[in-house]
Amino acid sequence: MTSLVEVDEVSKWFGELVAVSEVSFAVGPGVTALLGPNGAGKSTVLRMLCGLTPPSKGEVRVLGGDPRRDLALSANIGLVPQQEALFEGYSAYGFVHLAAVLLRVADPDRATRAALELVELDPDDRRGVGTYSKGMRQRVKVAQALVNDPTVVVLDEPLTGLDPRQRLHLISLFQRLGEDGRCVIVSSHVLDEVERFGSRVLVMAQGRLAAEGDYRAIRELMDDRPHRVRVRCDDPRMLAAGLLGANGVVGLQLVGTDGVVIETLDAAALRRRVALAAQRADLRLHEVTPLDDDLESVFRYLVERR
Amino acid sequence: MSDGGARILDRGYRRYDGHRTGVAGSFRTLVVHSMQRALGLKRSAAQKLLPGLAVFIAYVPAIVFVGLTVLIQDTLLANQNLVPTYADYYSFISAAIVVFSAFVAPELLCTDRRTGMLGLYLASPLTRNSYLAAKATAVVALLALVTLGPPLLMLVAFTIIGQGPDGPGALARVLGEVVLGGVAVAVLPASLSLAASSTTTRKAAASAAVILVLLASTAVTETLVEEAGAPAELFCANLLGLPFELVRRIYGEPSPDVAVAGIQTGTLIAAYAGWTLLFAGFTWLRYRRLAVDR
Repeated sequence: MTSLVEVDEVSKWFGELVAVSEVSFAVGPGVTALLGPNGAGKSTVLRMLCGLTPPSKGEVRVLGGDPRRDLALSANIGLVPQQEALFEGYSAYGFVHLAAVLLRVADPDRATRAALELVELDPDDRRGVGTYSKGMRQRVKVAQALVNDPTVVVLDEPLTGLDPRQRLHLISLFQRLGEDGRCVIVSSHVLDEVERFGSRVLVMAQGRLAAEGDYRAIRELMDDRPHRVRVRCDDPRMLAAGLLGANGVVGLQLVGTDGVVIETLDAAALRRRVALAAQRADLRLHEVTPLDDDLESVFRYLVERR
Repeated sequence: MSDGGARILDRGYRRYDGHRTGVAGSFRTLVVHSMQRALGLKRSAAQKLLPGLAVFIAYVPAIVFVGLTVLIQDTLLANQNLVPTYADYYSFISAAIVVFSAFVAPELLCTDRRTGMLGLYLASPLTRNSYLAAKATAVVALLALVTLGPPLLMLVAFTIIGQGPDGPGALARVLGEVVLGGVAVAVLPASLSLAASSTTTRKAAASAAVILVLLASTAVTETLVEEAGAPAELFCANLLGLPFELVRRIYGEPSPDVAVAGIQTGTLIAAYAGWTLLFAGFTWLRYRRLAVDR
């Protein structure tokens, strides 16, 4: 993977508060989600990627340059900040056009119209953005971040305030940007939406990078956490008896009249064993559902016990 | 840990299941980290200034004397007494010894009590006694850097350039004297500074107390012995001069002060041991009674 963004042993402190501690990662083209509870240091990392604040220690490189010193890089970075950062008196067109001019876009008018259309806003709407709803203002922020057609797009909670349709639209837009070879880094609290961005995540907790990579692969690495799989069938007791003592099965719990929750250290092997046990006992399987292989479970396992 | 590019770097709190080094490991770690802290290692440049200056002052004369020996003919040096003996060397670096004595122990003891680190240390396998022993080891080792290092450097350099002791036997004897002398000059000031540091959480106050006691004991005893005709044994209360005189006895060199030269070596050793035990005992007692409430 070609790294477009590299963070090497970066720490950031404000007085005695350590916001980010010895974080290292590299991000290439595609969508990468930056996750973490409040105060984990996500926004500070994003601000450092855009050169808005210098690291106290370590090095940040974006497209091979230092975003703090290399001013030409700003033309290749788009940022949607978490804060409401709009000039209230400007129209959406005026605000995005101003960003295009400041970033020295070759044809600001055309770029502005294209960016606003990307987020489904009317370039000819002359109302001030101060009169816009929160979701519309959020889309204006996304448009100004994309007006310079950046290679690196940094999005800090970009879906805040959007209605479900607009969320889907922007998620699909971000996916498209990633598929086009851009590096899209998205920070969000809403895990089921992050799951739709893609599977690559960076998980931060208490200023440190807790994990990175495909969240399913991260789950596989948690070898101290048995996978929990719920199986519904005709006779769960028979099935549980068939699985008792099988390699990798560390726990069985009967749930309701037709369910059994199996804890296993090897989820792939369990699927085969369940089918075999059901066949031997002449049982009909209704449902086999992993209970903790989703992003939310992975996230919870990583940030709990802190 | 990685799987297809995925990594888990931090799983949060985990029970430690690895090898535990116990009291010995804690002791060793505390000694090493205390020495690093006092020397300003892994700290800002400002924190390195004072220890660096003291070490510089202590080593410069040794380097100069070795340089002189190399550059000037040895007969000329012998005639003019340009290079001091090992015992006399300490008079050149007494300022560095006083500064280091006043700085090191307060840095290591006062800070731990002021910041609450002492409570964390005592939550480890360390007890108050092993904690104090580790700190004392660190302080003596640091002072030995100033009191033992320079004469050792001179001995090694002189031996290399052919101006050292004649033969392996003489070299071993001088080496033993250098080590014994260096340790003797380090231990008494170390125990004094530990005692002073056990009375306050303010580093500056402890440092001032150490300097005051060292200089005042020298001034008072010298005045009483030389001007007021007090018994020469009162010199045993000179906390700065006492280790230096003991070093002269170790090397078998005469004291420049006739009255002091008349004091029995056994008396000097007893006084040295008495002061050291007194200060060490005082420190131990202070820490035994200390309430660690955070």
